[in-house]
Formats: sequence, C-alpha cells, structure tokens
Amino acid sequence: MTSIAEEGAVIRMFHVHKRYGAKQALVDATLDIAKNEFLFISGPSGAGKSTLLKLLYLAEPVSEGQILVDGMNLSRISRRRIPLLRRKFGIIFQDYKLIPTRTVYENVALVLEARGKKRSLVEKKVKSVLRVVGMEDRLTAHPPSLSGGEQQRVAVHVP
Amino acid sequence: MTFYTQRAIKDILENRFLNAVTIVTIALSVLIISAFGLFFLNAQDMFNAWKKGVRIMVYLVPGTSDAQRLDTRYRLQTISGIQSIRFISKDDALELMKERMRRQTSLLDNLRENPLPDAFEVTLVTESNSPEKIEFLSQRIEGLPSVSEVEYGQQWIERFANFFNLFKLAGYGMGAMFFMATVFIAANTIRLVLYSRREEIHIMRLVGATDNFIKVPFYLEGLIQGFSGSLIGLGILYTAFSAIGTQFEQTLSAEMVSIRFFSMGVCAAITGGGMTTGLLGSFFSLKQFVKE
Repeated sequence: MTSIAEEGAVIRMFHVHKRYGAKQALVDATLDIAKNEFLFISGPSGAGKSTLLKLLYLAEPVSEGQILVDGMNLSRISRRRIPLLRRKFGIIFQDYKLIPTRTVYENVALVLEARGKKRSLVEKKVKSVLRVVGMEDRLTAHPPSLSGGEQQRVAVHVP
Repeated sequence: MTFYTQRAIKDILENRFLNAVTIVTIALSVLIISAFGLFFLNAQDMFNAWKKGVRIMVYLVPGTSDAQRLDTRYRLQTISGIQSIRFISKDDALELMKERMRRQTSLLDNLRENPLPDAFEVTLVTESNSPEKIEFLSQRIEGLPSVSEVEYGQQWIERFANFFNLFKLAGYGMGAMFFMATVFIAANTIRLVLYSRREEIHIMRLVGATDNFIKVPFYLEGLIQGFSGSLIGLGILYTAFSAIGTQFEQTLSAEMVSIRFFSMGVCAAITGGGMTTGLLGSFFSLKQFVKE
C-alpha cells in the first residue's frame, strides 16, 4: 500500500492520535516501518487505515504524537517542505485521482512536472511506463473514456 | 518559465468564457479610464493654450491726451509679468468692430461719434497666467492714472480652473474605483477558474507540487488577461479617437489648438496598469484559495 521511494528511508510513529472533532479516528498508534519492509494494514471500515496514510503524507495533521519520515519530524516540518515529503511517496488512491479533463499522457506527466523534472525526461519516462502497461496507444485518451482496469493501470504507473 | 507560460495559455484556452469575461472587463475599465484621461489631457492642453492667450484690455479715460497715453504706456512697461503692450486707438477699435459685424455696418455708420475708448491690449508672460497673478496685475493697472477700466476673462478663467481641479479630483476618484472594481472582477473570475480546477490542484498538491508550480501559471494568466484587456481597450479608444478626432481637429484648428492621443510611454503605462490589475486579481484569489 505504501512504499518508500528512497533507499534507507524509515517511517516511525509514536503514540499517534487523530481526532475529528469528538470522533477518535486513530488512538495511540505506534509503528516502525523498516527499509524494504513490505507491510499490510487491514481492518474493518472506519478502523483508521486511510487516516493513518493521510497522516503520513500530511494530508491531515496529527492531533497528538509524533511521526518521523526519513528523518523528517512531521509536526515540525515547514509548509515549504511538505511537497518534498510527498515526493517520497507513491500512492494509489482508491478513486485513482485521475484528472478527467487531462489526457492519459498529461495525467502521468503531471506528477513528474510537479516534481520539476525536465520535459525531455518527462516525455521519455511517461511513454516508457505507459508502454510497459500496454497503454501506449491510449496516450491522448481522457480518463472517463477508459475502463476501470485501464484507469487503475494509469494510476499505478503514475511514476 | 516557457513551461509555465504554455500552461497559462492552455488554461486560458480551456476556460475561454471565464477568461473572456475578465479580458472584456479589463478592456472596458481601461477604455473608460483612458477615455477620461484622454479628454483630460486635451482639455488641459486647450486650457493651457487659452491661458497663454490671456490678454488684459486696458481702457483709457475719454479725452486722454497723447502725453498721458505715453505716460500710461511707460508705466505699463515697468510692471513685471507683462510681455507686450499694443495700443488700439478708438478709430482702430471701431474699424475692427465694423469688420467683425459686417452685416450691421450700417448701424455703426450712423453713429455721430465714436463711443469706443482708446485702449491698450496687454499680453502676459506665461508665468503670470495664474488667476491670482492676473487679478493682481489687473488691480495694479487699474490704479494707473488715465485708466478707466480693465477687462479680462477673470471669472471665466477662475471658474474654468475650479472646474478643472474638480474634474481632476473626480477623475482620480473614478480611476481608483474602476481599478478596484476590475481587480475584484478579475479576482472573482480567476477564483471561478480555480474552483473549477480544485480537484486538479488538490491532486497536484498530493503528488508534491510546490505552491509556485500551482500559482505561477495563474499569475501569468492574470498578466496575459491584463495585457490583452489593455490592448483591446486602448485599441478601441484609438479607433474612436481617430474617427471623432478628425472632426474636432477641423473645428479646433481655427483656435490654433490641436488634439493628440497618448504618447507611447503613457500607452505602456496604461498597459502596465492593466497587467497589474490582472496580477492583483490572481494574487488575491490565490492567496485565499491556496490557503484553504
């Protein structure tokens, strides 16, 4: 579900709590994820799986406790460094989060462009990953015209 | 920057209607403010031209002898602020009157004696053209011996100067209001674009896009909108000026006054103002939106 893109990176959570108003979404979560570790988190709906992920890439702030990602303390991280933190993650969202008005190529390219990669590299990489999943002939298609499986393949290969 | 510019142009083309609304709004504001400014500029030119031509008519007491007249002339010459003095004898004045009233010459021919007084026509140096100076000089001249009356367009000049200042103030006020209204409209249209693309912006954030990556294309959009709007506004004004101006020119050429359009520098400043409007619109909407 979550992978660390860079070598040697670790994730550590210490007594993390997350509250939405009066509702407790996560209670006293303590967790270490080592380098190259493959971890599954399972649980019923409302157990806090999605919340835990959101806390990791700072889509939500923690209510209590500490989270360290690759040496960065998320409760102290400056607003300017949040994009750098997010670039360390590769996330496949439940709803794929593809932009319906942009083509398959643009959707995949956006991530690299947002990370400041050069255009020549972006073009090369996007075409290469789409070729791998057999989507090279759907470069100009828009997400709504793709099947569920095709959308998933685009989302997975957003580099 | 090329990447950002391309993205801004693409965004404008994708949201044609909203962007067209902003561009038209900026164009209309530029047109209204510039039209006001152009009118003001030419009115100022005309006022200055008229001020340059301010003359004081000094009428002499009937029966003034040549010696007294020469004495008055000498005294006038000693007053500073006077550029030239021309004597108009009562006979010359009558001839001039007959010339101007050609159809009524028979009336003037029947006069038993010339009722007009001898007079000096006094022209002032440019520095003495303020209403206060004219009044001061006319009072000094009125105090000279052999002078019966001094006439000049005092009230007219003063009223016009007052009106002009009021006009100037109203112009600044209107300009400021139009500027604010345009910034507000530009901000709102950009906010609508942002709102329609909020999902895209959210995704950009999630994948690690910096604030600048998100904001810069919108700033450029604002600048492009301002630039296009200003050019359209100025273009319409210039077309209207060329069409109407030629007619005015014919009427005004007799008065030795010509009308003119803004200089290139002023046009550039207006365009800069339009671009600032667009930029401020983007700035305010982004400031609120990105914070959310």
